[in-house]
Amino acid sequence: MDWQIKGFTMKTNQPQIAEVYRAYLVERQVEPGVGCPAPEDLVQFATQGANRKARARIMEHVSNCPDCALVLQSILRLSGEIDKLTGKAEAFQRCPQDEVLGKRERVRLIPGRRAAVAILAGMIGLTIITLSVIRISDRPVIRGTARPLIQLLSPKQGTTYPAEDIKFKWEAVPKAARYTVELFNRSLEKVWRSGPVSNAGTELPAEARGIIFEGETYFWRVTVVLEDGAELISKLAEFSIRK
Amino acid sequence: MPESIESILEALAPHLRSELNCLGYSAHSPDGDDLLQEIRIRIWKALKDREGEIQYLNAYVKKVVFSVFINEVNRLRRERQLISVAENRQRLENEGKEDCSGSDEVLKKIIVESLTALRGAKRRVIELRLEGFTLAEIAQLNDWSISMTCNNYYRGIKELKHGLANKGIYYED
Repeated sequence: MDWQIKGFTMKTNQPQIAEVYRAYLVERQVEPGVGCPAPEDLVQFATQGANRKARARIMEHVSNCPDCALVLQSILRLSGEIDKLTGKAEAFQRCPQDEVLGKRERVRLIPGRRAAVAILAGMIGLTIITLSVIRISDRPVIRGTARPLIQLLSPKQGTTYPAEDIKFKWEAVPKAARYTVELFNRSLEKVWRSGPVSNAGTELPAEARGIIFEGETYFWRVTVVLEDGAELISKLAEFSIRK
Repeated sequence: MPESIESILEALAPHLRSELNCLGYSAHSPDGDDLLQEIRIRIWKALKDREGEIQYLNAYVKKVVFSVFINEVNRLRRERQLISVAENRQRLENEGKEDCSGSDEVLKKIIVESLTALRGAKRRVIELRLEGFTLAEIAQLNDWSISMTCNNYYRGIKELKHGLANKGIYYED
């Protein structure tokens, strides 16, 4: 076996790790439901969001509680279905719900006194830094070179293409040894990965076209390996396939 | 009841049943059709009170469906609490008798150690992914950008792979 040749004694994969992790959480649970947020709170959180503190508290709990994770997943799926059926595209609607559900609490948009002091201090700090940079920039000193950014040219962010016209293009990076293109679906699961590409462009091969669907949204990015072995990864760009 | 609302509820029924099944909806629970009937009655009452017009239909359907859903989740939690007492007793009795192979236990221990060694957002995203959330859901729930979630996930997996490899375990993609 390949993994045994490399000197490993055992092997594992993501489904096994997930199974072990869930079993570990269940074993750790003293009594189900104790210390869990009420389902009402989970519904409110999933459909209307929460402030930073409450969000952190709920997510900390959910990541360690398989029961609440299941409830939250169900709420998200049901909410998405209702949105689809009632013709709302976005799953996370806020304002109309507040009115109908009679919620008086809203996220405070006006910063408190502490926040105002913090903003003021930040602005003063920023001014000092800007002035320092201006003074330093007068000196003709070169302090190394910045890593180049990868510019994705096509498919551009937010555009729609017919499946047969998809050609991935990006700006060539100096000293690039090879590039790799990765394609992700709406759930950000990898659906295709190119082999090593030497030019700043590649096409989606015919056999990979079977895995992309009309009307769906996809994300893509490019990874470049430089001659010195360093890796650079582009930002993700989103595009849709025309129906 | 207007036809549009009726068709929405009809289409929603299998999803509601399937979600309750995922949560451990048992044969002792009231029939799924009863739940749907309860939702129908509540919406019908609302239509009557509002002279046949619900202004924010999406929000109202959600409110009613989630209210019924919450009642069921609370009921299931109460049931499970009662069952868990009996199960714990059984587990304690069987603890000495269980015949777990040594290598499985070692593997489990190493996996849990490697997972808990991850820190911050990388740990959070990996834990949620293992619990079955999609990356898009994780991004929405944590109020992170999709790129940030994606980067943390792939970095977390890389660290996890590295941690497992140091302990002699090969992570298969």
